[in-house]
Amino acid sequence: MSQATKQAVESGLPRPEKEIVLNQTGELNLAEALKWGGLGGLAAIFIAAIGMMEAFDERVLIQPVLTLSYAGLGLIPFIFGYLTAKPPPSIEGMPPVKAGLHHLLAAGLTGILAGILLSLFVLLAQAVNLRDIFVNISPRTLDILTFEQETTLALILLIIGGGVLGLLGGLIVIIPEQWRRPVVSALTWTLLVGLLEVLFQPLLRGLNLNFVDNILFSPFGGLKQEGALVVFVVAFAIYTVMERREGIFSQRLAGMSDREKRPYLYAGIVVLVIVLGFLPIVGGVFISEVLDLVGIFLLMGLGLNIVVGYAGLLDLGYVAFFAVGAYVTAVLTSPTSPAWSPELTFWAAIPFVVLAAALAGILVGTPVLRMRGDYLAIVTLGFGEIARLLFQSEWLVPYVGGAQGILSIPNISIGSFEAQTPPQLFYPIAAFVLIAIYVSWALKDSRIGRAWMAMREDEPVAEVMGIDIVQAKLSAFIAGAVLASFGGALFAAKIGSIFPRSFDIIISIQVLVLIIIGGMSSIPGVIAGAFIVIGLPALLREFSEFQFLIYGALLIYMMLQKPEGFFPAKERMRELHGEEMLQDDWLKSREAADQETPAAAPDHNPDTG
Amino acid sequence: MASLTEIVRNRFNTERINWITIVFWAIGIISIVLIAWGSFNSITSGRLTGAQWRDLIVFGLAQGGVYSLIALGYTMVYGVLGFINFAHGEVFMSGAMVGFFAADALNSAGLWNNQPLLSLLIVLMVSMITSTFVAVLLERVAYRRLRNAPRLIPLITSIGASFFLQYTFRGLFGAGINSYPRMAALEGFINIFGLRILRSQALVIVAAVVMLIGLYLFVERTKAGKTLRAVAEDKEIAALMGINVDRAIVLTFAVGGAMAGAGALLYSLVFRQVYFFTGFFPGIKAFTSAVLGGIGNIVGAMTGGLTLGILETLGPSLVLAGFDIPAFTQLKDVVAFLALVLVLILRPTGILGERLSEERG
Amino acid sequence: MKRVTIFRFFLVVLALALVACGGEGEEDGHPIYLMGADGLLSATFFENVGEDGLGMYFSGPGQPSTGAYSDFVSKYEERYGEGPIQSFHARAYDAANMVFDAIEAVAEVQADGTVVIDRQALIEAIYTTEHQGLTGTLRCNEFGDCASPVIAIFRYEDLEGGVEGVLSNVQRTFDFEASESGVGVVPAAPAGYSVGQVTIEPGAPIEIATLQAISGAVTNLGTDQVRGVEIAIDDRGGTLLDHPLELSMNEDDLCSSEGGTTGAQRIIANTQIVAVIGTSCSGAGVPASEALSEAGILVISGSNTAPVLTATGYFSDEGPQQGEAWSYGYFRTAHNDEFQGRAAAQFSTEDLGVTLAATINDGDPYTQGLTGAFGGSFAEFGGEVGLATAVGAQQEDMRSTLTEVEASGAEILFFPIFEPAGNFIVLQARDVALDPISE
Repeated sequence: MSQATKQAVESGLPRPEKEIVLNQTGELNLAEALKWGGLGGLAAIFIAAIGMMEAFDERVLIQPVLTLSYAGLGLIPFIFGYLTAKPPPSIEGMPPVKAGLHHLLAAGLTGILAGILLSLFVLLAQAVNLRDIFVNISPRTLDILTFEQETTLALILLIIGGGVLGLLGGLIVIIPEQWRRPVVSALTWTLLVGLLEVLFQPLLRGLNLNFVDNILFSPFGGLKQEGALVVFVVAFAIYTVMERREGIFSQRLAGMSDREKRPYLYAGIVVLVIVLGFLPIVGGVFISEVLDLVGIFLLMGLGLNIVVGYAGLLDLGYVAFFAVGAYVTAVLTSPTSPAWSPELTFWAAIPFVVLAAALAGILVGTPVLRMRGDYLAIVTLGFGEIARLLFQSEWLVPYVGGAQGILSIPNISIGSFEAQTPPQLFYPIAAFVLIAIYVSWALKDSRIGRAWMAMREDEPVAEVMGIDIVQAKLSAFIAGAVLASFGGALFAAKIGSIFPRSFDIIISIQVLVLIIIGGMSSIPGVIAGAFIVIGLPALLREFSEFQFLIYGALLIYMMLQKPEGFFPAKERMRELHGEEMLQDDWLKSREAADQETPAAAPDHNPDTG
Repeated sequence: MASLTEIVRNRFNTERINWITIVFWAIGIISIVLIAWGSFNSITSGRLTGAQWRDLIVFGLAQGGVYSLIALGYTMVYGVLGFINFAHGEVFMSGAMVGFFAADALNSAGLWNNQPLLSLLIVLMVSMITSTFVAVLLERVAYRRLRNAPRLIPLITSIGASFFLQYTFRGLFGAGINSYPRMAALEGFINIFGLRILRSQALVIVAAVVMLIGLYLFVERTKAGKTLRAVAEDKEIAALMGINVDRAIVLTFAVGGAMAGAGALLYSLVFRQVYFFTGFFPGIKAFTSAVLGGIGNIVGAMTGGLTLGILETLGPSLVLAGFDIPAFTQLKDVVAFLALVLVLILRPTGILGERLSEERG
Repeated sequence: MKRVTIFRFFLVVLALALVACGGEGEEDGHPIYLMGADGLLSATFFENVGEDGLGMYFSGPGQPSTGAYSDFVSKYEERYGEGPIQSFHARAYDAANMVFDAIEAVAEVQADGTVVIDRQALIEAIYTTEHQGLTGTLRCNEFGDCASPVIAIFRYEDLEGGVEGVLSNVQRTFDFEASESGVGVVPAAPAGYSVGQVTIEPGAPIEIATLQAISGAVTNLGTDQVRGVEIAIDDRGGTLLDHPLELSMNEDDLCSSEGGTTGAQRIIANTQIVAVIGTSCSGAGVPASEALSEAGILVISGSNTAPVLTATGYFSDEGPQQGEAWSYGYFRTAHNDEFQGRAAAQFSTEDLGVTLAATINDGDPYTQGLTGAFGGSFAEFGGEVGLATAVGAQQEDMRSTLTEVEASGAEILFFPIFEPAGNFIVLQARDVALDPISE
């Protein structure tokens, strides 16, 4: 028991069942170090055991010293050291705790402990053949973990390295506030640029900035050491400047009225259009391919955003609408589609795609009208599976080609321009995406949009307030279906052939993950989500192997900490963190009130405080 | 004399009969007609003998037994916490996978076929402990803090947990398919009342029934069970009554996990192949069963499980074949999900009705 | 109504149904032959089915038996620590060698050692190639079929032998004389075809790429072929025309059309790639071959077998017609499934003497095409397909399907599918009173 509690008990208060000790003093918090150290060690062992070390070793971040595997390994004690040293959040009414030397030591301890655990694992793996059961603990993994040195030396390196990295992590806490963000950001950018060489290199070449490419990147993959330094310094400089100027800029922005903001908005849109116009050319074939994929999923994300984000209907069978769009396009445009091939052009087929999607939306929406949230999820999942199975079935082969699919789908053509290569396909895809973004944005503040949100919040209440729930639900499904079907149509035209295998439930899940990670019901969130969830694995093959593992972990973490997503919409923030935001506002108003009337100190009665 | 509209209104608790109700009724009637017609055609065509029809029903029962056991986990968690634990399929899979290693070891040691009963018990323990551990871990790490969050959030967490577990197992143990060793004692058939059933399937059905009865008694008759029911009814009042809600919830997950672990062993005996993806579709089907039977109650899980098993196995051969649909065996999942949709349209609370009160919606 | 009451009612209905069925089951199993195809000729299949699969037949690409082939297998074992893990490695090896020979034939070597390869000339060289490979004489016709179609029927009789044992246990080999039509004929290039050259600086490597299924359930199929290519490079000493010879891109086709497209685009973005050995799966092959063809990159596949990629109608009266997914510059050293279907059907009727068959596919374009080809040929040989059905690739309970197979009275079950579905069928066959013939 702490001192304070002892005194309280002695003065007659009952013994507490649980005691929460606020480490507001400067003691070395051994418990924290043990906890984070243990977790860190386990995390490192986990990453090694599932084969991530080996897979990530192919990717060089900084030639020749840092591969992704070592970066990942090193980040563990670094981050966990930071978490150990981080002082607890300041409690209202008590002075904030300053991080001191003891925190640093604790951080180092975390790193050492993690290193020890990992060393034990290495010893075990070398002594006993774990490969029969744990198939990915390969010799290569062990080589990586022991830095390809002799065991004893390697273990020493692991433990000391862990300790040093832990200390560095703790150091981040000690650094004064104004330098912290630049340092961390610069580090992050250095690693990111090394990781996304596959993205930056073609862009630099496309912009004819070959000399920058030569400065930064090594021909063997990854950044050169000098290049890494350059990136670090540049990022550091930029962030330092941003720290100084940031407050000023956002204040000015907040100060302007909507009308004053408008020229900036228009300028922004013009710039955006120009950038988009040149992006496929600058990026090259492969980057355009990735952008095309991202674009198609973004369309679907925007559609699902309407169904799940705005209207709160958890649709797990969204891929069905995607499939409908793809198949309708294929059947109507391909000269070899079975049963009936009117050989329309892509654009002539679009109205039929919309019609089919609307019908599908009604077909899916009607049975679930009276179902509650979780039932809705499983039934829509069922519909998604039914759709795929029917498209694949022998029964419907005369209409949709069955497992052999439909081939020879013609390209999208506008006049004499035929969109064949990925850069060419980018433009129609981008056009659809822009339209979808506009429609989503317009719907959000429209009458139906508000009806959706009211329904999402509390359905019975919304109904009592006069909202036609049936209309709201069906229109949400239809809107989502139409957007997904556009994605399907573009997919069919892009790949030129469709097989039912492509319409698996995993796509529904991917679209759901992307809107959650980005931020539900927030359009920038969906865009960011699409790039992260679809773009990254397409660019980096190591990630595509582990993508679902990472997304699973990310989803769990985010729901616990940040359910509103990385780029949340404001209302969402308010919904999910309402109490905290209210408290913050109240604190701020108290501070303001204190400043105005210093004499009137509030009555500090613990019972009513 | 109540008018027809009033009778219908009272029966369905709706304020108004509108076109939706009519549509639903129409769907129901047309479905029943189609099912009857297809079945009639199938049976009279003589394609399958009586014995074969009977076999199909028995296969469905065995499959349903496995679904029931997994469905229990879903239904208990839903009853207490109000959300679908998507990761329950992976709880099942973890038991099956770790059980495999135990079985493999026993086989190498020669015990698997020499001491079948002992081996089965050992693997059962291993499987149940693993599944329980994973379930409790899930609750502690992923779900505990989300007790009061809007319903969508823990659902999404569970989807994340499901993928995380799947790919963790894939990473740790590889993507290859693992085969349980053959057990000679379970080979061949057994004759009950003139019915010829596979020994392994008989074991599944008997074990499932025993476990379900055990669980039912546990929940209805013991004090711990009463705690669970109280917490399911109303968490806050239960807390006020002095019940340790946290512990009750952990118990719920543990019991659900244990049932899934038992189901995992039975599944492995019947199907013998397990890999990291084994839990995904059975998980979905099991949840479908739970909903079908009426979520939140144990008898419902059993009914739903058995029903789904039979529908899936018998449905295509009975109904679809009657319409001369080519390759009708391909469509068993379609039958299963359509059945779910139909049941939920006509009886939104499932066959046996829900345990929860209506207002909890 | 009380819940338990409904449940009891349900049980009563169930019992009544069971009684109503009546009838005694057959005590003896109904004998049936089981035949799979190359999808199941994977090391893990035999480990998983063990005894239950004994006696099963497989159709697949004829494995060469020459001395050169056993040398190849030794090299394979030495380098990778295990024997070949699937059945297409030799075809990938031959494909790679065809590419190397063609490069040597058409490359222009300048004074300073720079090598210039004209893409169209390279492709035309393949159309007129006659190559002696591990798998026999390879001569490409205008449709891109280069393999002399040799299909073997194997049987699993050795419990310890694994896939190697099966591949060496040949029951019958069908050597369909490759039709002379179209051999050595160079088809017309697509309109506006102008794809330039690859210039390789002195000292720079000559780069080729593979686009194979190296992850997921069919990883053996792709990995096996990548290894074949690597051995081919080794056999050349890692150099060609005094330049290093490098497999610089090893892409994953994910056995799907999207994977094939993305992988192809990745390859196209690298303008130094001269040729591609791939894809593994025909579903990926359709879009990938189209994209790579448009970019002028030579593609040779060691395992695509779907007829639409090259030509259909080899056994029809009019002879082969260009397949719907044919692309200029796409070749394959694997057989066309029309031949495999025919071989399986011919063996079944002539050697096994069956007249009634059941087929099962799993909704994959390759398996469905193969069961279709089998069905067509089987009818030509006087048989009848009593039940042509399908299962889901992830389906576990096959018993209802197998009951239908039993009910159809089929004497042979042809199921050219993959793991794990194939495993379940073999393991559950005996549960439904089917007696797979194992002698």
